[in-house]
Amino acid sequence: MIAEMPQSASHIAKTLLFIALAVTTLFSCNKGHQDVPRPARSVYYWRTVMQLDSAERNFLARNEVKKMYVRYFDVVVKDGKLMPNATLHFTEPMPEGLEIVPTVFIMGNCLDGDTTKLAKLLVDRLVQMSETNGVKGVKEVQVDFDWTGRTMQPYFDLLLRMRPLLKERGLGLSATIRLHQLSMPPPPVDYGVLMMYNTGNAADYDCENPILDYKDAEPYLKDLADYELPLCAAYPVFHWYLHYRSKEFQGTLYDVDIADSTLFYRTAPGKYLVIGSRDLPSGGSDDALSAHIRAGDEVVVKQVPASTIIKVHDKFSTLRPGINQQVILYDLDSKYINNYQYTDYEKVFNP
Amino acid sequence: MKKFLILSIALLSGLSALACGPSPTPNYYMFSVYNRNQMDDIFATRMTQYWTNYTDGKADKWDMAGLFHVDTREMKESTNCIVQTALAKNDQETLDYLQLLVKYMQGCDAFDENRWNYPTAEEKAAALRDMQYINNRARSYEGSRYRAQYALLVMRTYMMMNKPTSVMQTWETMGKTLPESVYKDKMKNIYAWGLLKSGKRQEACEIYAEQGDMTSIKWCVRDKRNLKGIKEEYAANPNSPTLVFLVQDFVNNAQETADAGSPEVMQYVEATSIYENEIKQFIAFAGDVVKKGKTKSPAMWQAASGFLNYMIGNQSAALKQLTEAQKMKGTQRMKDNARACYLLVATKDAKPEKKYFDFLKKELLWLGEKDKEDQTMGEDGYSSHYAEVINRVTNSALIPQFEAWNRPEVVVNLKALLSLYPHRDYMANSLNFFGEEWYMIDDLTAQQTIDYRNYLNSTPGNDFERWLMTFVDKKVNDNVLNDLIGTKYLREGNFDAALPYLQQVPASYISTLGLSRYMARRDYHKERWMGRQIVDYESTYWSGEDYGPKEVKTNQRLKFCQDVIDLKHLLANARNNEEKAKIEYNLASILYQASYKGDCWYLTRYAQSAYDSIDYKNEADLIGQSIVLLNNCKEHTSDFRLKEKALYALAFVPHGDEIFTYTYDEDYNAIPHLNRGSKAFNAMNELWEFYYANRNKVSKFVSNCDALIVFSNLQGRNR
Repeated sequence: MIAEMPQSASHIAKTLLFIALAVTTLFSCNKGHQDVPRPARSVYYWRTVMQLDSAERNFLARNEVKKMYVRYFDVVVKDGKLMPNATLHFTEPMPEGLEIVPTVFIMGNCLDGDTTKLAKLLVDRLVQMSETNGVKGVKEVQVDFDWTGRTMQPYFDLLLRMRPLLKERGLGLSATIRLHQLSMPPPPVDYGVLMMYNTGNAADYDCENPILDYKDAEPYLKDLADYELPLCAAYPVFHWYLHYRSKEFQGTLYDVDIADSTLFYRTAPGKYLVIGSRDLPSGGSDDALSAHIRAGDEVVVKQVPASTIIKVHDKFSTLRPGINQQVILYDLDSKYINNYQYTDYEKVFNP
Repeated sequence: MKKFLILSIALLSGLSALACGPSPTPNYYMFSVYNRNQMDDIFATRMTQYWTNYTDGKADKWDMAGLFHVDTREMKESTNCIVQTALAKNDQETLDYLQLLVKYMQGCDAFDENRWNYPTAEEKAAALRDMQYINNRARSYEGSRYRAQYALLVMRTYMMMNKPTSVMQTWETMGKTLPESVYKDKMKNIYAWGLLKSGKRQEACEIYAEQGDMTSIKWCVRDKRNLKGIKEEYAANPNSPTLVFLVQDFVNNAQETADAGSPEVMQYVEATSIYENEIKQFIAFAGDVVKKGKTKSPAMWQAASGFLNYMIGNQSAALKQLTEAQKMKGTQRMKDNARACYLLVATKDAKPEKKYFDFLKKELLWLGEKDKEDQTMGEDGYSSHYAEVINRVTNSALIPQFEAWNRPEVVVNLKALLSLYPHRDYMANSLNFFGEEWYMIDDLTAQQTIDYRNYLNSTPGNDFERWLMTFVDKKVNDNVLNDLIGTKYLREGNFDAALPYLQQVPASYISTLGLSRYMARRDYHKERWMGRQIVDYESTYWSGEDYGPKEVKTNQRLKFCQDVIDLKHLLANARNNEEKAKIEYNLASILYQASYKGDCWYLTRYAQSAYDSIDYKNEADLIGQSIVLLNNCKEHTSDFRLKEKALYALAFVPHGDEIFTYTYDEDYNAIPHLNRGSKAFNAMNELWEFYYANRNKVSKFVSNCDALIVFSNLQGRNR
């Protein structure tokens, strides 16, 4: 008599993962690095309302951007349940001539519990949001999750469950890859987007540039050449206003007018002393985005110099030819557009 | 008159041993020209009131929210008390309105985009159709009773359908002519949304400011919150309601900036002067505004100028302007604000004389009355602005002033005042509550407490102090004071002085104190170094056991006091060294138990925390006395067991320095090192030498001592 072995979803997923890894490995051994599908100049759109202003539209046109990775919603734990949050509100149709990649950001603690139903919920919702809002020509979806050794298995299980559901609909799957994940097995997706930002610790007052500092990134790059997944790169064009009190990190300030000389006193390039106390409202009712600044606090502006981005870009091309076939800028926002010159964007977009 | 709490909270309601330190002094804003009570939930409370009245007081906000769950097809089956009341009254007009309201509430849910089943285009269209249906029905209402409610439904549904133009038209044609009501106010708020969506920010902001919709105002005027913005708003409309928010915001921020007073700011003289210049320029601008006479609220501008003058040290200008502001045009709130600010300013440089004391009493009484008025407009537990003014004036001005005048007894009573403002009634039953006023009492020495008691029994020479006296809880009776004084004497090591006070304290009183929980279960005769007497096991936290006081049969403090006196007497009269040594050991043991490190800390204090130390200015060093006695004991005795215990105790008790220091290996494992030369090292070393000399005779508590084992290993000898 053969005993019936209960096969848990996790067990199945592990098996599938093994197969997927084996296939990926064989594939890469035989053929070398693959390009990402349909490479194109790309941007991330990471806001909660779909509404482009003229500067953003001009930017897309002038730089011949053809693909936009649009954050559709986040997944958070709310009252003990996994819930969508900060869903993108469509107030206008997507711009013509762009391939849209619906993207979902999953918060770190979301995969601690039972996630067996999550794959279907995610796929159904991503697809439905596109349908409802008339987003045409969607060819893939992307998942953004900062996995670690502890959460890798449930995350990869989730991706493996998503794949057949997406395949039924003729959709591909990509995922973001953070630098620290380069030394771990690649996720079971079509390709990864290597996020070249958040390389440092914003909470560390002395961190020279937490957005992107080559020396912070360099130790991780030893695994780049052999990373067994097609990759493209995402580079930061945003800036941060980091708020410190006695060098203790308080948070990132949004919608702050750093030019208000009655509130901020410039003490050094990129450093401002808060000279008046005030609570700063958030854009909505989200208290997490509001902040209280006090006289004596410091606001440090962090932005990556164009030369650094280009240096990293060129280094990538050397370490892993083809990775810049598709470049994604994070993120499209008129308040960031003027951070760089047109020629800088050209150099970054150029493979 | 409200029930006065002060000392009773700390002393009588089960003072917890899980106390935290005193909280930082709050820095409440002084300047308030609009009623911030309108800020939160500005409409819901008033809307609920209609249904509360309709149901004869039965319905509350939860019933109103619960309408969402009513099945409109089966209204008769609903358990919602609003629906039930309408059914019982056979009130078809109300039922019809409720049905449409419920449909609207449920329809709104379909617009919620943060749910897993994201709506299809058809569902969205259906939701819009539902809204249109509700809108049509609401517009067709021809009665008068629910006219305002239906009109509001019309505007709400237009808003859900994202039709700002229709919203604005409805306001113009239906809303603005309605009689005043919460529904009309809500409609105006939605009208402001329509204006905002149509790019008419200025007009929208004015409505938000007028209605006190804080969240919306802040967002609307987020780039106007400085003098430049204020000037722009004034230029656009000298009587813009937005100015009320912006002026208050400016003064409050200036106050908080001064409160922060961080050294970092001071390092940049230029930065400080920028901010101060902005204040000076505001003062000049406010002067112009008042002079030109275009504003209908000179009281607000003049008071703002006065308070800012006070902040930058122009005392006489501040007093003058705040006096003038009280007589100028403006809302009553603005005039009251000037009066409240004047009080704070007037405390500066005041002399301890009758005129000043009379003024203080009058103004504090007035603030108390204003606080009561304010509370009637708010929700339960609401802290009014005027209560916060009393707190601020008392904390930042009066207490330091009376301290400077060396009047600690008045300071205690001022602290009593703080127990009322802002209101703490809701905390009265909290076991963990530890009021500021308690720390004040706790800081007094025994003699100061006696002085305070005498003060309480006297009739102070001025009206203000006599009035303050009324804030002392009547429960602060002889038992409380005798126990306080006796305990403080114990803490000061003055046992003879403590005895007569403690003799007057009955065990029944001690049984009401939180510390009785420990007193009932611990024995100070047991040596601390031989083991802990644990009361609160971890499992207790989950057992649901009551953490309240426990009945004690005797007052252990009194017994302890008598024991110490007796032992000291015996020690002084001991006939030989051996007798001395025994007494010394016993005395050392009970003194240590009564110290802040002992299990019986309640003998000398009312609470204990891991951060305790000798911080009370007259506190006796009971640990130090214990060490001296143990050292004497070990010298005096030739009894092996007694010497062993004395040496063991000496190795156990803290000496004020550490026996081990630690470094960490690459895996962050702690590596201990001996701190040779420390007193703790010497004590442990002596025990260690004793152990080696008598390794076959020593007791298990010595041979099994883990600290001794570590010490031994580090000394490099095998046992």
